[in-house]
Amino acid sequence: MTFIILVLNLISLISPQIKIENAWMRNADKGMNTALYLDIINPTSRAYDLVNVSSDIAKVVQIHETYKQGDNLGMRKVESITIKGMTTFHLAPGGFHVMVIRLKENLKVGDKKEFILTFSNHLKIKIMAVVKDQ
Amino acid sequence: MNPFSLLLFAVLIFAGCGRKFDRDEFLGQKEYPLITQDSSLINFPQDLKGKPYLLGFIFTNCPDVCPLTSHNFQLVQEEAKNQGIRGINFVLISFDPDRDKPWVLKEYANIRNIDGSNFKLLTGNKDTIRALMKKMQVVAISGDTSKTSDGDLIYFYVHTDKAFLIDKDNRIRTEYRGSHLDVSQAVNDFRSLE
Repeated sequence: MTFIILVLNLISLISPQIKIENAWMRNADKGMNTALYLDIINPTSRAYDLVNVSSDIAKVVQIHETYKQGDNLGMRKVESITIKGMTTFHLAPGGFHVMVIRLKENLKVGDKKEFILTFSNHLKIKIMAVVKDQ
Repeated sequence: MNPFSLLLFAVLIFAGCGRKFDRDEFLGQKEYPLITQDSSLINFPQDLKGKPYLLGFIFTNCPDVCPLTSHNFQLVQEEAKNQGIRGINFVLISFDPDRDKPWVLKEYANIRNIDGSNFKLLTGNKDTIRALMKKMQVVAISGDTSKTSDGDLIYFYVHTDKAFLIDKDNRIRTEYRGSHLDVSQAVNDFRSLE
């Protein structure tokens, strides 16, 4: 049994893994909202769903998308984002983003804050997002 | 300078002056009393007459689209300044006056390093803002509403993504998508109004 676990661990170590890059947020004041943007790189052959994002820096953290309705733009919550195998999914301004609602602290340019991304297979990835002025 | 260079220089100079704008509508004589981020009263649009300005609508709790508009306005402001274009203004009006009080707009300007020398963030009475939005054909509809665990109301807007170029006589000359504003185009348009 120990041998099997060891082999599985070794496989996971040498297998490609989901990677998160370019995580950033806009600067904002305590009590206000901001958005988290990042790239999810899936070098594996299977699809993964991002199902949750959490952080202690805000009262509420939700996955959202910006959508067009005629000449208007709106934002709505989405339950998950699917990242197909061998693709990179960009959470970017004007598209999918993580809504960071009611900040518990001021976010100043250069600050780095922790988020935990949870995927459908219970994979959890801890990231640090940098605050930018954009 | 040889004749070819001279011709090229003349073409470049006059290219910017030949912009034919797609709109020419007077904003009217009606006054909309609004409050700036510095808590000063301003009668829109009469008090802005005399200088061209870029006008947009935002709400400060917007985390995604409105910051793009604000940032684009700042980029146009910076580029216009770099190109020596003087005597222009930038105006963002909140369509969420319940939450966007003058001091909220002031904090928003501060954290975004908005150069307030020719950049006004405005709020006001809800009915006044509503009337002005109707005039400008700008829509903002409260979308999904929810509450935090401690009862704090969360709501966002489905809203128009428009920015307007207004000339010194308070005439709308063109409009852009605020969140996808072409900075060079807007700066050139300002130059055409000089």
